[in-house]
Amino acid sequence: MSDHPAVRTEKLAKTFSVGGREIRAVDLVDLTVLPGEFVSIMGPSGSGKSTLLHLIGCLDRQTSGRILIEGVDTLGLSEHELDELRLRKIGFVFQTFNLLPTLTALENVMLPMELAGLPHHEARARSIELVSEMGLSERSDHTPARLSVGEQQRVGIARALANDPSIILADEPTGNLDSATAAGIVGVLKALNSDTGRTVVLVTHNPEVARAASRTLKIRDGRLAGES
Amino acid sequence: MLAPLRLAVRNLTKRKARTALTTLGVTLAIAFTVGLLSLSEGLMVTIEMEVRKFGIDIFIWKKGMETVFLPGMVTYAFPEDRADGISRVENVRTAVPGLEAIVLRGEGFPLIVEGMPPSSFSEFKPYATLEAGRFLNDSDTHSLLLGHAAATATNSSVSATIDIMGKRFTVVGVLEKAGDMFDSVGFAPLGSLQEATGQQGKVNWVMVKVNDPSRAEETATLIEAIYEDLTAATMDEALEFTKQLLGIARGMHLSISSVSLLIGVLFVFATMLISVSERVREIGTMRAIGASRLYIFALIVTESLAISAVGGTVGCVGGYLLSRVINWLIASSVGITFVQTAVTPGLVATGMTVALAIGTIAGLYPAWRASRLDIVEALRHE
Repeated sequence: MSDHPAVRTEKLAKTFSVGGREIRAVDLVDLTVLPGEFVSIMGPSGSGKSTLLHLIGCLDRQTSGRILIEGVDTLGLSEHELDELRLRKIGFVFQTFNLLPTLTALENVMLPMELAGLPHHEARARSIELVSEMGLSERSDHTPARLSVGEQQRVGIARALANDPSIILADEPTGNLDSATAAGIVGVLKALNSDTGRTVVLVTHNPEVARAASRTLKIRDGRLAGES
Repeated sequence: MLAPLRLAVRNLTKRKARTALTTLGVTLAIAFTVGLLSLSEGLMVTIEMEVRKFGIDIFIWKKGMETVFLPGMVTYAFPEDRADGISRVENVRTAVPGLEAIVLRGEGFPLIVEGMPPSSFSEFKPYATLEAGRFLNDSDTHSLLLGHAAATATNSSVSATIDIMGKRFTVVGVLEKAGDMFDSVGFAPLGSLQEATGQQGKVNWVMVKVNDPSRAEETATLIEAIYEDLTAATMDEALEFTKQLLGIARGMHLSISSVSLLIGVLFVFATMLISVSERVREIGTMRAIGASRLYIFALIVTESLAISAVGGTVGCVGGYLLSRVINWLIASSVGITFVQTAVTPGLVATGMTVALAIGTIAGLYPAWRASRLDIVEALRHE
């Protein structure tokens, strides 16, 4: 584990221009997430929490300020280096799962490894392991359409873990799930954090889900508004 | 990288109906192109073969008329006695004068008749064999020797009569099928044909055999120097000339088929654009989990290429079948059997290259668009 914070933002801002009006979706956010922490970012919809997560995950470029992932300033990275960062350091879990519909559960998990250049048989072996850890061994040959939403999200998490990233970013991972299934998914994320020491940053509007984290940051109108 | 290929194939097989339809578009475009080009290709192959087994070294005709080395391409007439002069040129062994006439026969396809001194026929077509009757001899007048296909086309056998410009010619012999371009031609004594066509003392070709074939070109140049109104071409030159003219035909075929190729490109282009716009979120997801722009670009181009590769392969087979249909059409409507379409390895290679070019051209823009998608916007896309 490095001495640097897993994630650090300094005066981070993202401005959108909507109909000629400037919207400050993320407004001068200073944030530090230590390695191995489980942090939730909570706020109502439109508070800028997803935008903040997209910035941290290098899916979007900030308007100003800095983002440091394990001490590396992302502003200084080339596009290729950002691709590599997303591929190897960060695992993304989506609200809508976003599995590729033409691939089976197993192949969805294999995809990031193949993108990373892992030989096919190694990618396959590791995917089988990950899928079975998620309790989906029997469902591994099914395409997403034939999986329940809970199963789909477990595949989504397995995919996020494919290249053994140190940081997991989850964007409303339970937003499309009923409360019982949601509890299961939260449990998986919590176990990931406590068992393997991965840093987890979770965005949610649900206080129930946020409570799983060791620390909850509240966000409102693009600004951090307290911590609990 | 194998991964995009597998993903591409998966994406294509998942959307079977659309993939099949698009592939069909490419298939038709390539089949049409290959089928059409097989005609000019076949003519080249046929003529090359024919000219090689032909018993002469230099072909002479009236200057100023470009000709294809095929029967029926009548050129302007010139005095017959030129052949005597030519036969005295150094290195010339024999000079056979000839007149070509196209005989219209009411409803039927015109019969091409070559008039030449009967004793020269064995020089002209040394490999000819008889199916019935006899060869022409020097005492014959108004006699005809028919090639196998010519006999069939005119429904004539030995002792039948054929009308040539009001004169009755009697069939004295029918040749066995030789599979060459003279199968559909009739042969008559030069004098009789000149008289029938009102071209006494005129010929429109002279064929020359030389003593030393390695000096044929030199001899042809000498003949042209002596007779400024004649063109003397060695077989190599005649072939080259014919190939040039056929090259124009091929260019025309290609420009006709370019319409179908353009339609093929539009087919694939539209499909790939639709496919990309349907998969915006998938593409955003792949980018989010670390796929590079290049990977996305390669994925879409691979899909486009896969469609066109399959379409090209099936299209070449289809083009071959089409070329068989063209053969059948030519044989049954025009009665010519020596012109055979040819789907050569070179033509198949052309077909495949064109197909892959279609895939590349049609895939580039959709692939570029896919690779430029904004990740966050793509992820929000419904």
